[in-house]
Order: sequence, then structure tokens, then C-alpha cells
Amino acid sequence: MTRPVLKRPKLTRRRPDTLAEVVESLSRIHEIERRFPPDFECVSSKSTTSFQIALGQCQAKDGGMASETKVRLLTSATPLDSPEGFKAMLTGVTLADLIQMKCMSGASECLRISSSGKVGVLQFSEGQLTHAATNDLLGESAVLELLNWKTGDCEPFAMALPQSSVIRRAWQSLLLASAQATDERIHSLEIARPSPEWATVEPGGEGTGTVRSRAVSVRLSSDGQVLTSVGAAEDLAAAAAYALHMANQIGEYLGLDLFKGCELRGGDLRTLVVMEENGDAFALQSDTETDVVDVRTRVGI
Amino acid sequence: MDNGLLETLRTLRDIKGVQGSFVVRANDGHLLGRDLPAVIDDAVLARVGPRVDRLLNIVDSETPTETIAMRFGDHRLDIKRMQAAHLCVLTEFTVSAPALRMAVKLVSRKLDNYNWASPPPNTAPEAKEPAAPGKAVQFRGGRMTL
Repeated sequence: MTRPVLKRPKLTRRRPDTLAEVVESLSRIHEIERRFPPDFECVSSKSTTSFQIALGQCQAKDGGMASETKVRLLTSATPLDSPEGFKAMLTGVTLADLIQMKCMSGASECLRISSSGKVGVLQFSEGQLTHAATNDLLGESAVLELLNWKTGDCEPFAMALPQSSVIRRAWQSLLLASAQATDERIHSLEIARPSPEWATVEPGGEGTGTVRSRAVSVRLSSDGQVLTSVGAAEDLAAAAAYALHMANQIGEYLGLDLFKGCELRGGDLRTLVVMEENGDAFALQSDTETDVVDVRTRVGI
Repeated sequence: MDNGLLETLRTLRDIKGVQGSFVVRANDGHLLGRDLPAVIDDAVLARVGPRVDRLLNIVDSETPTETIAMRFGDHRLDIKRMQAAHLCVLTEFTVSAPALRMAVKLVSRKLDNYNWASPPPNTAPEAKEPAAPGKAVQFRGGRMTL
């Protein structure tokens, strides 16, 4: 999306009292809009203090003036604090973009984010992300959860949150953590997706290519129950559960610390088992090196 | 234990971070040789050996598991399958993995040529039981033993 270069237009500071004045203001806004790319929609001016104006359908670029039927007045009990600046309705913007924009502009305000029935709040204070909350999360975990939401609406929100920050990490660090988590999710999905060259050759089918194994993975609870699996992972689940028992016993006999994980290699086949912080175990088996690199790094071997 | 075997295992300690090593027999995990601190006694290794052997056989594949790398806190245990035995190397977590791989490769190559003197426990010749005494019978007025 092309980002408009915003130049603050001179708009009236007088509060529009009548609908006619509102429409008049909108016509001026419309003039401003003509100078901006089509994906920028200006919906309110800095002078609006007692109500907000939603532009609705009047973003048509036909040069005509917005009609009364296309204007909707929304009464607002909370005056807008910002003495200057646009209120913009942008599409295709991610929440990470918004956070970055707010922080870099040194903003102090709250945003309410809604997505598929879920609601969250972000609070900025002098360009720092200080508070975040969702229905059941607070602080940094709430930020990471909010950054997972791919679609939704975002609007300024008057809300009094505590002065002290519940977010210790810098906003840049949180955005990076979220991006990394997203990358890992995508990578795990790619592992799960059958690759064309791994297509199993049916006996008697075309060609006599070697039947190659697929990458399979399984997550086990601390008591060995299969929580999730990708691919035909029954054998892997059994092998991983048994390997955990053997490894724990070996470590206990040798007086070593807790077992963190292992890698078994035979030919091209790699089988990795890694213990997670919550006590679950994740096992992955693949004959492709790139599939196992991340898990091996987590094990630290 | 054969000094040659001990010397071979000791070469692994040239790699910084290696704390010791031991060798167990394939199929039953019987301890064949060791170069480990005394705090880890033979009784402990007698328990570890069979489990190492089992670990090498849990993955059902056309190609058997050749190596295992295990991580325990600040330590790691690397296992290498050889022809008739398994080499196990205990190291610190910070050991240079490539250097360790090469050292294990060299040592396992030497040990593959090693003549394991310790006979398997069940292959000792069984003692012959004494023949049962013959049965005495009377035949044509004389006493004979069948």
C-alpha cells in the first residue's frame, strides 16, 4: 500500500454545530482527499471535539460533494485529546505497523482492537508501549497475542490504565518476537505440508522411484499421551516415548542434569526429541536436514 | 582392561570438554572398556550399557541408527554404533561438535579393528557331566555292565 505523505491542511478550529457545517467541513476534507492516494481516507478533522464524523460512503473520488445521506454523526462523550492531526481509516495495515507508527511518533494514547469477537487494548505512553490486555491476558503476552490477530478494527479508546508499565520489553523486541513466532509457525506448517518430491510411489505405479519417508512430528504430554501429531506419527510417538524413558534413566544413573533432548541419526533419517518447558515432549522425524535445524538448535546439540 | 583399548579411549580427551568415554558390546550392552572418572563405577555402566543398546534400536528403519547425541543440562552424551560395540563419549555441553565428531570417527575406526578379548558370557564351553554308571546284569553266569 502506498503511504501518503501527510501535510497538515488548515482546517477550521470552530466546532461544526450543524449538519450543514459538517458537510461543509467534509467538502473541505474531500478536497484534501483528492490530493492523497485513494487508499487514504480522511474521516475527521482536528476541530472535532464534541462528536466524531464518520465519512461513510463519501470517499468517492468523483469530485462531488458528500451528501447528507452519506454522513453519519456519532456522538461521543469523550473529547478527542489530540489537538492536531488526522484521524485516518487505513486498510491493509497490520497491528505491528500501527504499534511502530504510534511508538515512533511518541504517542500517548490507548487503542482498542477488535477481531472476530475478541477485544484487546494497547496503551502507549510517550512513544512506549506500556500496557496491553486481552480478555484473558495482560502485558507482554497480551501484546504477542494481539499481534497474532490478522484482521480486525482499531480505534482510539479513552481508558485510564495504571501509570506504571506492565510491559518491560521494548516495543521493537516484542515485534521481533512476534515475527519470529510467526516464522516458526509458517516453517512448521511447511514441514507438515507434504512435499511433491516426497510423494509416495505406489507399488506398480509409474516409475520405480524410491519411496521416501515424510516428515512427521508428534507432541507428547509428560505422561506419554499424544497431544498433536502431523503425518503418520504412531511409530514416532512410541519411539519418542521410549527414548524419553531410556534417556532419563541413563541421565539418572550417570548423575547428569535433566534430559533436554536428543538426535538419532541413521543414514539420512534424523529423529529428534526435545523436552519443552511445560514438560511436553516434541519429536520430529525427517530425512531432510533443513526440517530439523530449528529443533536441533533448541536442543542445543 | 587392555592398555591398548584404554589408550585409544584416552585420545578422545585431547578434545577440550571430553570428560570420558566407555565402550559397550552390541546386542547386550555389556561393558567392554572405560575411561571415565572413578565416581562413575562399573555397576552404573552395567545399567547404562543395555539402555544405550536399546536406544540405538528404537527407530525402525532400513538404515539402523548410527549415532545418537543426547543433551543433559550442561552435558552431552554421544553414542556411535560400531561393528561389534558401541562407543559412548561423555562431554561438556560446550565441546566443539565438529572436533568431537572427527575424534569419535577416528577412535571408532580403531576400535572396529580391535579384538574384543572378553568372551560373551553364554559362549563358555559347558562342563561335561560325568557319564551315568552302567547297569549291572547277569549274563551266562557272569556279571556284566551294560
